[in-house]
Amino acid sequence: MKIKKRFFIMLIGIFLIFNFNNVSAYLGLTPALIEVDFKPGFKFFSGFSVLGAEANQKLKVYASGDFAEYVKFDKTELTGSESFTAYVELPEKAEKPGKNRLYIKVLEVKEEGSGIGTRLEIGALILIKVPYPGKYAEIKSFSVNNANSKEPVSFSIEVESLGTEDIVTDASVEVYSDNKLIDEINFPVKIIKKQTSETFTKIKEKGYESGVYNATAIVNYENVIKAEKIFKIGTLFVDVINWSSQFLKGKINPFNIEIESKWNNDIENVYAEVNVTRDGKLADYFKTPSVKLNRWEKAILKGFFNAEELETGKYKADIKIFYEGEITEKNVNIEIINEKTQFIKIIAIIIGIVLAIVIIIYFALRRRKNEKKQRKS
Amino acid sequence: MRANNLLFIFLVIAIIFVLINISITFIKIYNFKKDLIGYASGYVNITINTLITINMSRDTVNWSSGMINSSFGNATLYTSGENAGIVLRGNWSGANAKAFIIENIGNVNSSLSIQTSKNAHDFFNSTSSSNEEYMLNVTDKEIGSCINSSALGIWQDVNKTSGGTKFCSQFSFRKNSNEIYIDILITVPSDSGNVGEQFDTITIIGDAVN
Repeated sequence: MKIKKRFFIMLIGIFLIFNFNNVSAYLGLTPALIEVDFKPGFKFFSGFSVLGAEANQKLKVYASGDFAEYVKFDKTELTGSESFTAYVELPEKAEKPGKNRLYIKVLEVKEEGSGIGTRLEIGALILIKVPYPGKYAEIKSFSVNNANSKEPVSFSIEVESLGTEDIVTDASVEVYSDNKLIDEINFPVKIIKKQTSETFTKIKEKGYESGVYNATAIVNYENVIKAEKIFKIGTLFVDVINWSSQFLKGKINPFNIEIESKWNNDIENVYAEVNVTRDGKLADYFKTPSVKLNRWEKAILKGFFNAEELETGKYKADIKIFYEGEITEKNVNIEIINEKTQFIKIIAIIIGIVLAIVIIIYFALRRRKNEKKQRKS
Repeated sequence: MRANNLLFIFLVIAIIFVLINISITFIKIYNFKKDLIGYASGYVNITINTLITINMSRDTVNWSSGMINSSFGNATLYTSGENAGIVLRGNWSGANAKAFIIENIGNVNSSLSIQTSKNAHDFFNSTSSSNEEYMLNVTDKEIGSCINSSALGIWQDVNKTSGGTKFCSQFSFRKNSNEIYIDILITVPSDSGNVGEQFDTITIIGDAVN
């Protein structure tokens, strides 16, 4: 009787457990990012606005992360989409140099009810940059644009001085192709004042031949710091990278051709024509609908190969891709098979896998038996 | 005389009709101008504030009532993206049990962590302790939404410690790559020490990143 009662209670519990509660649609906080340079005893404040909270939604405001203990709020409990102010009074000394992350958090307050409830918590980031002792710099960003062959390529390095002293920087970019150094770009020497950043930019007007390149930014300021970037130089070429190769006899089969643009601009109106032949005789011909190929994009051209009246066996397919007055041609082998042949292949694979598993289990059991015997003896 | 009166009435109606039309046109032009940005002459100074906003566009998972099939020690229930929830060794319904959908609709990338109030044992208190599960799995709904993640697509035990488990270092705000699924898996033990009503809170945490 007791067990029955317990089981009944359990059933009720299980029913409730799996009904998840709703939360408000969204929760937002603005501003989301603030950057501040650390100065001993520096005081600042920032107003924040909550967005999206329902009118009666209770919210808790708190700080977490670096310097959280130095934050005070005008209010820590909100209802709905209210605004509040965070007052920060930084200490005289910072423990950790570099980027310190202080989060101003807003958390939905929910009463615990039945089932599993969900709630949202969001955090705005106050990035407090504490200077490193002496000279210290980081590469904030390094960018190189993709281009087409012989078109200008722009190199840009943003260096941020994060130390307590100014730095003298000597920057360069090395360009590699297949691990071979093919070019070196030097920038004029610059003095970067402490807690500021400078950008080095240079344009290589003549560009490079088509291919994939690796650029390494090297900044020397008594220490050497590096950053890498891969960039592509395009040529007007659409490559055929994959295609359907097996088709069923007696059916109209989809024939997919995967193509890839090697061009740094969009290409309109790309389509394929396919001639299928056997022993030099035309077996079928079809054309695919045209597609727009965005820069460096892969796409699939879909046509239909009529194998309704064709015999099984190997065929040749001549795939021609048409674009911007150019043609890419590829001759590939394809095969028409019986549905039965495919079915037999699948069965054979399954039997093979099952056999392999049986053999593994057999040897594992045998080994265990031998080990037991050895232990007994 | 009668004809003149009739003509006068028609004239009055026509004038009223024209006046109403003119009023409506003016009101429409006024409203249209009000909606236009930069309608007034001079400079327009636009400041775009950074904004972190997390949206739960699907926030309900409903398994309805059910029980563990007889002769089994537990039942497992889990959601699977857009598919109906899957129930193993039990008779709950997965028809309305689909993954939570979280969207970054702000204008900065954020991190994404999940913290619960309880773990599997707190929740069920199974006497064997090995017969219970409470797990989460984060996957991209739109490719490239969750960047720099080693936890993507892997079922992980829920985490009740402060800050929870970080599933995404960078949860993108960019259009067409800013939505993820949170799947949930629960294994209900038959030897649960906790009976009756149980509850827990899943906290979805998004912090702005730079």
